[in-house]
Parts: sequence; structure tokens; C-alpha cells
Amino acid sequence: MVVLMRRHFLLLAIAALALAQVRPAQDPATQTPDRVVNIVAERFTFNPSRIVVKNGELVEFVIISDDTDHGFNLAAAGIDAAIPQQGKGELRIRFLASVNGRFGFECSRACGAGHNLMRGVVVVE
Amino acid sequence: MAQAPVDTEQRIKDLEARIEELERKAQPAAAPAKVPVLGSVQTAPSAPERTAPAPPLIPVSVSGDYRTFPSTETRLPVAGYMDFHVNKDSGDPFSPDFHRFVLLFGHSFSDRVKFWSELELEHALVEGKEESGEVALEQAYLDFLITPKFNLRAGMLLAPVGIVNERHEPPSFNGVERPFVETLIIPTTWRELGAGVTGDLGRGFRYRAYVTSQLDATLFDAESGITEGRSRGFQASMRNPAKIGRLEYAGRRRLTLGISSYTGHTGFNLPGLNPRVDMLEFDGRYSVSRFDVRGLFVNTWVSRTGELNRRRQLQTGVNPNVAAQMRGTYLEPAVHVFPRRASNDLILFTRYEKYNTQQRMAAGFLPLGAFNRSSWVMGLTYKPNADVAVKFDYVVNGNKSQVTQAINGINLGLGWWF
Amino acid sequence: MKHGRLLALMGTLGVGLCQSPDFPGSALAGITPREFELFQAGLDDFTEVETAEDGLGPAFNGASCAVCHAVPAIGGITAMTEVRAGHRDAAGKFTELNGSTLFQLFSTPPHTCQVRIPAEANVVARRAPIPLFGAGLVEAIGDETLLALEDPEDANGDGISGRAARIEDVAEHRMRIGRFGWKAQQATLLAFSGDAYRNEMGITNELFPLESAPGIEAAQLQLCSATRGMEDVRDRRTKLRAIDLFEAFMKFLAPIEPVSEDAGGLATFTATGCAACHTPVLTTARNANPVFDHKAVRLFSDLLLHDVGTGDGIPQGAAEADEIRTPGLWGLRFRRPLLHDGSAATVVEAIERHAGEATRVIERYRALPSAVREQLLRFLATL
Repeated sequence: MVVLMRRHFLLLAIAALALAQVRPAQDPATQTPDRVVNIVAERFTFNPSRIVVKNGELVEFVIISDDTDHGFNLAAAGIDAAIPQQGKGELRIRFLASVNGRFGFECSRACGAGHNLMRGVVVVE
Repeated sequence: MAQAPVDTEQRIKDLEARIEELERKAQPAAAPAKVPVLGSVQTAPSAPERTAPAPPLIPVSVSGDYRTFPSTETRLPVAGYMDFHVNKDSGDPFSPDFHRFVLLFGHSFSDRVKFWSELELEHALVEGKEESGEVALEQAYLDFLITPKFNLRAGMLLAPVGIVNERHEPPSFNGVERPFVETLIIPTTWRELGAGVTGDLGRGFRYRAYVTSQLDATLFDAESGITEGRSRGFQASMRNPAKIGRLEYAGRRRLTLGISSYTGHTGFNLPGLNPRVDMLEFDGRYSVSRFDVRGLFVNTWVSRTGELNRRRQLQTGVNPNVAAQMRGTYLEPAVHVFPRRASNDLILFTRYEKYNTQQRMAAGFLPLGAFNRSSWVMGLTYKPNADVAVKFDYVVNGNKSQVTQAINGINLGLGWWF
Repeated sequence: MKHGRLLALMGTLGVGLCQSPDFPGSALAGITPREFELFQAGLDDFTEVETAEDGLGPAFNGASCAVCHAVPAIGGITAMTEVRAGHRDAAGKFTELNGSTLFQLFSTPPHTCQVRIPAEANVVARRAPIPLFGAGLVEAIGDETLLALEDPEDANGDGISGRAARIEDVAEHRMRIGRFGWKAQQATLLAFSGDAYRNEMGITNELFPLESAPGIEAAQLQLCSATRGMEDVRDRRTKLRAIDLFEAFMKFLAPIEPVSEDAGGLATFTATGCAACHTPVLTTARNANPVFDHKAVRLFSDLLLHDVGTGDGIPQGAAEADEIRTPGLWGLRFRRPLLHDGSAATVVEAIERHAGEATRVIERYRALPSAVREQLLRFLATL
């Protein structure tokens, strides 16, 4: 009995150590973002259209539309998704601002006459 | 305790398995979570084997209530909007009218060169009769995107004046018909051939400045002011190009303020006489919780209307009685019955409009009181979907005429955008 | 400074300071905004082209008032003429055929009600339109003024025997002195409107409620007429009839002013004797409307009936077959051709055609030295 208990103890200790070392880094898809920006899209503007974030931040955009479907194309992140029309919910995107610079985003779903210039910029500094 | 040795072995094995599992879990994520995408901007076919360079911004996730479009969608979208009305003036029967059937075509040649157009059929039938509908090109232009602050545009352009002229999709305004001020004073849909610059100056300021074809003073009149003077692209003149400019502020959420101006000479069909039209316009739109409000003020000056009227009288035998000043203003508060996030939208609105195409006359000319008008438009817009509007309104019209009574009306409308 | 602003204000209110004589078709100076609205509404109706659905036809001379009244501005004339016809027997007695002397030129499709001149007609005459400029002022001339001018027995022995046209006015339902039309057959603009609307356009109205299509059977007329009942209905928004609006337009239509004052020419005109019938000025009677109250009307006509050898052979109203009401000479520079049937191409031709009562005057004219005659013709060219 005493021998068993000691082996158990040893194995348990090893397991505990292993567990301690391999506690996983938090999943960026679920962890709390460093910055949440609410964006409203409407014909033909994003508000805000100029968003400044810090390098290294996990940024989340919560985007809603005040009218029809719009699109959100942040080419620098390879993200291009539809913003659901008013009343049909929201679009949430997350990205890691890993490089300094200015990265444009634009509406990617034809929404009317001013669609071509419906755009904004993410500034990472 | 006789079973103890078997249990222990088993337990060690279990623990070892668990350790392995935990170790595996601790590995950093091999690749970012799968990101659903729309068709890519470049028309390169999707090549799964292509190793894309790592994006400067590392995407993490896309979630929420977004939709993905079918992968077969090309970047040549056809959009459109339609307007079906039933109008009834007091004393007249109900009169149905498929007012507008409009198709919009756009195309991205590249990231920086884009095309947009709008082709319209009004009143369903064009047959060459004296009274018929209209097929018209409302917009067709190229955008050359250079920098956020400076972009070029050329083609058939919408005059950047007013609220409705550039935003006339049926679900984006209340009322079955467009506001009177934005029909008779700002001659929506006002489009001209021309070229110009546009851009975003930052802090929410955006501008558009165009040089365009002219209005024709020989078509001005008392009832509709300068409205009939639009060339709409047909046999347009740019002998003295007109200049239109707009500065908009949209820096605060759900607030848009704008100021526009137009100046142009209009006498290309009048030898020796070149009246000038100047227009100055202010507008604003604001939404807070369940309330919306929008308002507009516009004043138009036309020079040398005394000579214009006399010359037209000599030419045609009739004095068109064009005014030297025309003015319009409106205010429209509205309330959303359901909360903003609800999927249905019911808007109750009322709009007071005052519009006078005979605001001031040249010396020796009398204003026609019938064209000093006001209207109360009261109604509702029901949107089961943000792109579909079921509209109803009741219009109470008034004027300052001592001879002609204004009549009221009700309108029903169905408008949609896709 | 103060005066300038006052003048500008008055100008803006349209108090006729800037009314220019060079623009025929304008409204009278000094009318109120309400009157101007009526004038414009009338002008709109005047130029409107009517269709069979509006009541046009079945027999008509024009689909719009402007067909005959458009030069040099709406309210003027055109080269259009209408046709009158009748029968005169050997004794000179005139008989109307099919109850009318007017035979409309056109008919609405399918032309089953096309009016035709009967074979018995042995008098056919054309009549040109008369310009309407200044008609309101003419209407405001008192009957007594015209009665004072008449001299049917030539009591003063000058050879001229003008007769006032005593007619029953259908608008006022009383005896009046006519002054509108080649035969001075109407006294008021409202009656004139109703008459023209029905006769020239076939649109029945409260003053003339029956269709006019001489020679067409009543049953056939029923079939041709696309509309039933009275065709001129009150407008929903103004509560006025079309004939009321025509009346308003003509009433407030300004006269044509001469291009320049020519006192010498006027003196010659009077001395030659032309002024005996072509009276330079008449004055309107007292009128509640200041625009028409005791105003000088420089129309160059006594509005009386004369036989100057230019008659058309058709009696009408109070006028004999060969009598014609003196036409006004104001706006003469815009009228061509001349005489009731447009048969005179020039002013000289028209003058030369004068005979009858005008014989002595024409002899004096022919006796004028050429320089004086030139002066007279130059004067006429200013009107």
C-alpha cells in the first residue's frame, strides 16, 4: 500500500506538472478583444470611417447596417463579408493588428450611387 | 485491495494518455480559423494550392449574422430599385402607375477603376406618343480612385445637391413620391454630363465638386422653375460649364449635414442673353434612438429673368413668367414604432414642405400665387425587410392663389431595392 | 435712395412702371396679382389644344383659340380665315341657309358630320380673325359713348353715317351696343367667348348650349358628338368655366402701343378725314376697376357699322349685309393681310378699297401730295 501510494503520488505529480506547463494560450476567437469598435454602415458611409488601433491589439469590429445589405472588405486581413441589412443582426470580425500602417476597407456589396466611395481606413500605430 | 495492481496499471495508462492529449492541445494553432469570404476582388480563380502571403492584419474570426454569397457571384452586380404607386387626387379616381423600374449596373475594372450606372424606365411604356413614359440614363460614370482625399469621376453624374437626389432608393426616404421641394426646386432626378473630383477629407468631411453641362433657360417656367431646363444628357451644352459642389459632414454617428451649391449660365439657346442660375442648399439628417429627423433649405437665384421673360414672349407669344428667385424648405420628423434591432420597421412620419417657384420676380412681373405652395405629407412606411418599403401617405396641399384651389390626395406605394 | 427702393418695390409688385410697349401679349399694367393669375389661367386655357374627348367638334374651325389668335403673340391673329355663306335673292334679300351663316371648315373623325356649304349659296365670304389686344379696354367703353358718335342719317352731311349696333347680349340678357366682331355682333367678352367656343371649336357652354353644325341632322349630330351634355364644365380647382377664363385673358390683355408718337402724322390722318371713322381715342366709362376707369383707349375706331364698299354681303346681328364695323388700327403693324377677308396685301391696297361712305375721304387721300401721303403712311406704320 505504501509503495502504491508513493508511485501514484509520483505519477500524479508528473501529471500535475505536465498539466501546469501545457495550460493552452487563450483562443483569440473567444478571448476578450483589446479593442471593440462599433461601426454603422449606411448609404454611403461607414461611421466611424477612420479607426486607429495599436499594434499588437486584438481588434473586434461589430458592424451593423442602418439600411440595406452592405459588404465589409478589409483586404489587408483577407476578410470580405456581408453586413446584414437593418434588423437582421450584425457582423463581427476580429483581427490582430500586427503591422503598422494604413489599411483600407470598403463596401463590397453594391448599395447605390455612392457605393464606389463607401470606404474607410484602419490605422495601426 | 486484491485488485490494486490491475487498477494502478490502468490508471497510469490513463494518466499517460491524458498527458499526451494535453500536450497536443498545447500546440499553437497551426493555421488561422477558416474565414468565409466573398468572391475575391481580382478575378483570379480560387486556387487552393496557392500559398497566399501572410496578410498584414491577421484575421482571427468572422462571426455574427452575416451571409456568404454563393461563390459563383461575379463582380458585375446588377442591382435595381422599383416603385409602384397608386395615386388619388381628391375628386379623381385611383390611378395606378408603375412609376419607376430602374436597373443599376456596376463593374470593377480594378481596385481603382470602377463603373456605376443607372438606367430607368418611368411609367412603364414609351411608344413615341405625346404622353408616354420615359427611358432615361440617370447615371453612368467611371470612378478613378486615387487617394482617399482625391478621386476622379466622369460621365453622367447625379448633381450632388439635396438629400434625395443622390439617395433615391425607395426604402431610403419616407413618402410615396419624392418631396415636392426635391422635385420642383431641386429638380430630382438631376443629372448632368460632366467630370469632377470627390474625396474624404477625414474627420467625417466628404466633398464632391463637378463641372457639368448646363441648364437651358428657354425651358424655365413659372410652375416648375428650372426643372424643365435639365438636358438630362440629351443635346446638352457645355459652352459655359456649370459648377456644382457639395461638402458633407458625417463624422458623428447617424448625423449627416450637407451644404451644396450650383452655379451655371443657361443662355446657350438665347443669343445675347445669358441668365445665370445660382443655388445654395443646406440639409441635414439625424437619428437618435427611435427618432429620425431630416430637413432641407434651398434657394435659387436666376439672373436677368425680366429680359428672359420678354425675349420668350417675343419668340413664342407667351410670357413664361420665370421668377428671379425660387425657394424651398422642408422638415420631416419620423418615429420608428419598433426598436431599431427588430427585423420589421414601421415608421410614422410627417413632413411639412414650403416651396415657391415665384419667390421673387423681376421688376414689372407679378408672381402667380398658385405656385407659392405648401404641403403636409403624413403617412407611414412599413419595411418588412430593409430593402422593401410599403408606403402610404396623405397629402394636404395649399397655395397662396386667389383663383386656384389646391387639392389634397392620398398615395399608396410599394418600393423595393435589390 | 428712398425713391429708388420705392420704385423697386413697386416694380416688384408689378405696378406697371416697367411695362414695355414692345411686348405684345403682356397683361395690362397695374392689374392685381389675382387678376394676373386669372390672366395666366386664361392664357393657358386659350392655348390648350382641345380634343374630341374635351368636346371639340363635331364641326370646328380650330382645335385651340391660338390657331386663329397667335401673331405677334397669343391673342393676335393668324392668316386663318373662316367661311360664311348664304343666299341673296334678286331683290337683295338675304336668307340664312340651314340656320347659320357660319360653315365650319373641319370635322372630327370619322367626318360623318362634315359641314358643307349648300348648293343654293350664292354669297360666300371669308373672315379673318381680329386681334384681341386691348379687348378689356374696348369692353369698358360705355354704350353712351358709341351712341354719341353714331350718325345714321348723316345729319352732319360729311358723307359718313355710322350706326351703333344694337344687340341683345346673351351674357347680360339686355340690349347693349355691340363692338366685338366684324359686324359688332357682341358687346361683352363673355358673350364673345361663349360664341367663339361653340362656333369655332364646337364646345358647348352655358351661353351657347347647343352644337352648331348647319345642315347636319340632330340625330346624326348626336352620334358624332363624343361627349354628352354641356362640354364646358367648371374647373374643379378654380370653380370657373373656360369661357370665364377666356374672358379674363382677353380683358387683361394689354393693347399694342405705337412704336413712337407722330403728332404730325396724326394731324394729317385727321385732316384727311380718316379720323372720322378711325377715331384716334375713345374713353372708357366709369368702372369699379381702376385699370378700366376713365382710361384713354387709342384704338383708332369708332366701333360703329359703316358701308365703305368692303362689306362681305352677310348680314349678322344688327349689321346689314354690306356693313362692317370700323376695325381698330392699333397694332396695324402686326396685321397682314388686311380687310375682313384678308384680301388686301398692303395698307395702301386696303386704303384704296375704301368706297361708299368713305368716298369723299378717299378722294382727299388720292389728292394728297406724295410727301404728305408718305407722312400718312409712315404714321400708319407706327401703329
